[in-house]
Amino acid sequence: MTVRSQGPQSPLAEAWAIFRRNRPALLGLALLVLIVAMTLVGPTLYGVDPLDIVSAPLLPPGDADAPLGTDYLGRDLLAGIISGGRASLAVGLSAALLTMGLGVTVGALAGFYGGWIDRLLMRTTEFFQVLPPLILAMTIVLLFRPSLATVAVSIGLVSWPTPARLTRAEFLRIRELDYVRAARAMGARNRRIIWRLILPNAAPPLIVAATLTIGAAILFEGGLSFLGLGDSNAVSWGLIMGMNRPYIFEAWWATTFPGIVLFATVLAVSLIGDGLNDALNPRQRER
Amino acid sequence: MTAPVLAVEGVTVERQARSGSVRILRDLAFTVQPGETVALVGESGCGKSMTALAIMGLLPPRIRVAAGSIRLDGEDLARADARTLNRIRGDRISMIFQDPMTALNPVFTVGEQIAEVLRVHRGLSPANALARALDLLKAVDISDPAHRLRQYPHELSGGMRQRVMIAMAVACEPRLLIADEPTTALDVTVQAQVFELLRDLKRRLGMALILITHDMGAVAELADRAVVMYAGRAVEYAPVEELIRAPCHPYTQGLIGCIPDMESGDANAELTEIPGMVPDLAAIGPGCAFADRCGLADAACRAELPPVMERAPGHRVACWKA
Amino acid sequence: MRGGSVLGQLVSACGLLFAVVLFNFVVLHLAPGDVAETLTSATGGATKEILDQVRHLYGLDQPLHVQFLAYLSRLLHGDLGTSAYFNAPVAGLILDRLFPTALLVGTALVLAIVLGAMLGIVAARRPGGIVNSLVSVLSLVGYSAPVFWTGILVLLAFASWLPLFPAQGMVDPRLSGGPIARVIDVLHHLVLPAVTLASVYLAQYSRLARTSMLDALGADYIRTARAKGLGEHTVVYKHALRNAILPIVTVAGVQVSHLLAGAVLVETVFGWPGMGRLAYESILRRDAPLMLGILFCTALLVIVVNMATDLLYRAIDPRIRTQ
Repeated sequence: MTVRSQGPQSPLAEAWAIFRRNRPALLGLALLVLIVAMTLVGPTLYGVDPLDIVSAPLLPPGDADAPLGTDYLGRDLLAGIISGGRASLAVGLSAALLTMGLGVTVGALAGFYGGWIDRLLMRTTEFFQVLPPLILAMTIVLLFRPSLATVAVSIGLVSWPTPARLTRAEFLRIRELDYVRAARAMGARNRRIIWRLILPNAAPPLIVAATLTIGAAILFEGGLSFLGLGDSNAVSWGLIMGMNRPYIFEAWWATTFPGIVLFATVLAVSLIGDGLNDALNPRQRER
Repeated sequence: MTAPVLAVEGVTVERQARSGSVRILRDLAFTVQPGETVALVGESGCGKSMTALAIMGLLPPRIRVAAGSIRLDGEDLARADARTLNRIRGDRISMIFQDPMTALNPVFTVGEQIAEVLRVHRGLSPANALARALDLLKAVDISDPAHRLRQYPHELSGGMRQRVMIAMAVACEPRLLIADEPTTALDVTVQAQVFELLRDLKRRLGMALILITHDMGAVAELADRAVVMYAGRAVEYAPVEELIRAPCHPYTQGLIGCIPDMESGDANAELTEIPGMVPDLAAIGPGCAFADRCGLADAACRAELPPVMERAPGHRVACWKA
Repeated sequence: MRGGSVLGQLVSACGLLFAVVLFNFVVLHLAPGDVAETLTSATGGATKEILDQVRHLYGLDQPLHVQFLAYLSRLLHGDLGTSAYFNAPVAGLILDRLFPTALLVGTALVLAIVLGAMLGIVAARRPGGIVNSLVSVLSLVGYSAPVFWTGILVLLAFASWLPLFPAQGMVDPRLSGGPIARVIDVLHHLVLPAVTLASVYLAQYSRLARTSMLDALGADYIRTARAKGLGEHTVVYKHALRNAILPIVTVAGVQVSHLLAGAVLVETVFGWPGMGRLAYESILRRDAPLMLGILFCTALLVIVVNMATDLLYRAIDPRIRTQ
């Protein structure tokens, strides 16, 4: 075993030092920054309304009016891709937040208190593993009228069991560690033990899980929108692909390009997730 | 003197690393005569297990025999190809390991695992191999052997699993059995039974035994000769009675001082009486590796490696002060 | 879920199924608007008479618990309600689509497991090799690529530019051949959707297979097997693989629900006439009874497959079997 120099580095700085040496992760970070920047400032720089009909339908890429071509109604595809990021990323991010919030809360309660709370949780996660996630989300969106909020909530509702199980396992492990027992023996309150002692130590795997959850939620939103279950007033990558699906053989670009951006976004998030995993959970790096 | 079953000569084993290679075993030499028990003794990390794995041709990746020969009845195992080794292993030479809890494959029955050896080396039919496996289970004194044959490893106790390992190892009546700390993972009461079984089988089958242990009590009881190893080197080599009566190397003297009290039977009092720790193999200086822990060491000991010298017939030692 | 008696499994499966039914019921009644209107919205604005008819049929004027018991009893009799759009029993509609989905999902699962295991084994045996890097890249891409996008790319590549396979559907309606020709036709149509659906899980299984194979190859019993003088082939494919397969079976069972969800997207892209395609159609028509029926049936399917996986696991892991 090699002994790493224990300088005055904080754990965060040390994690960043490891992350910085991870080329794929840096690439993912750069890619994500690029995509987010495109989504935020793109619409002002490229002033074409994604819903305006600008040219003939199904115009191939390379046209002066529409660099990436037009869709089946003659709308500018580039404008659609630039604006579509906003809905995809917003839904993905809020769904991931919801998933993690719900999952960590339930998992922490189950792992910390055990007993009937724990049994109830295990039963509930079993129940949610039986329901095919996309079909469940489809049902919810169908019954509750599609909107960005419905989509985000339905994704959160079907995704929370995974982080809940992870949090539960971490809490079960950490609550038996000596320093937690010692704090308990000294009469520390549960609230303090959960927030100050267990949660910070459970954080590394949860941060990695949160990253992966964002990627999964963006994919999930894409799928729902592709099926026409997104908010039809908000352009999103999946929606563009779904709308143009009947014309794939006439206009390959209209489905392929938004797909590339969607793929690149999730890939960037996955790369960052892998990098964070290496940086935050150094014990697992042996493999 | 008859021809030895095993002759290890000048064996050096190296681990390939980015920063060059590290010598794990240095210029090791000893022989095992037919029917004889030779003990390899020393603390954890001294190279005992690595010696066994080198003999079996089971060295882990990036570790290899860099020099020397390992002759089993004259055939050099260090230079044998995979096919030859597979033919010999489990047949003429076999090995049992320290932890019987993990050494058996959990998804096959005990019978299947013993029968497999016989089918591979003796070409027995599945039915005949199983019948023979039953005999073997009887031979290692397992209760209700016919039932055990159909059981899976997790259904047996540690002691029974080690008996199964032994049955598997002696299935083809090998010339040489290597037992790597065969009782360390077992209860104290079971340890004695397993040693007794090994002694009994050795007598009945006439096989030679290499016993790897850090337990000098077991050495005194079972072994004819002992090789004391330190930091990858054989530092003393002698018949057991002589070694215990008159150990020459300061390290051996330390080990003998650690023989657990037979009355208390506390076999786990592991060599704690020698001060200091086993040195890092990558950082050994030019002199004697034991010098830093040795009460007798002086500047000369640290400057030059003591050669192996014959002190009496069959008693060799590598120490400037002996 | 693992462990416990087979009877216990059965009881727990029934409990899960009851929870699914309850969930369906609650979701339907929580939905905004009148339940009768939700159930008939696919007809595009039902008349007062039809709404009254539906209210009476489902007993919507009764107290909730009576409604639930009636719903439960109808389910037990195989009555999943009536599709408003197709104006046909939901159960029959779903049953018609069961075989295509089972064929697609089953093929994809087998493909993913077999290919994934092969890649994983090769990768584990040569940790520095090309296949090992391939598995790493494959698992990253497979995880990140939206399956409907992969499907579109596959369609463009192998049905348009290189027209080797049919683009849509499960059978060629113009075909006039014997049963063998029909089977070949179905298989021909199956290739692209099955490969697409498998690609996602191939990525996961190859990584999982590599991990479990590395674990198995590093185990003490592998050293024992080598010490017995067994050949490399026996050591890897008998002693190591037999152990490495266990986690793969577990994960495959857990992922059947994800596979069914993925089937919705793949069936939509390839016009495969399965339950996923039916779910898509029910979304388009806003056909709530049909969608709820599909949710119930897919959940039932997952429960059945999970039990089957459990039995399989018992058969191959003696440590569970004899407890």
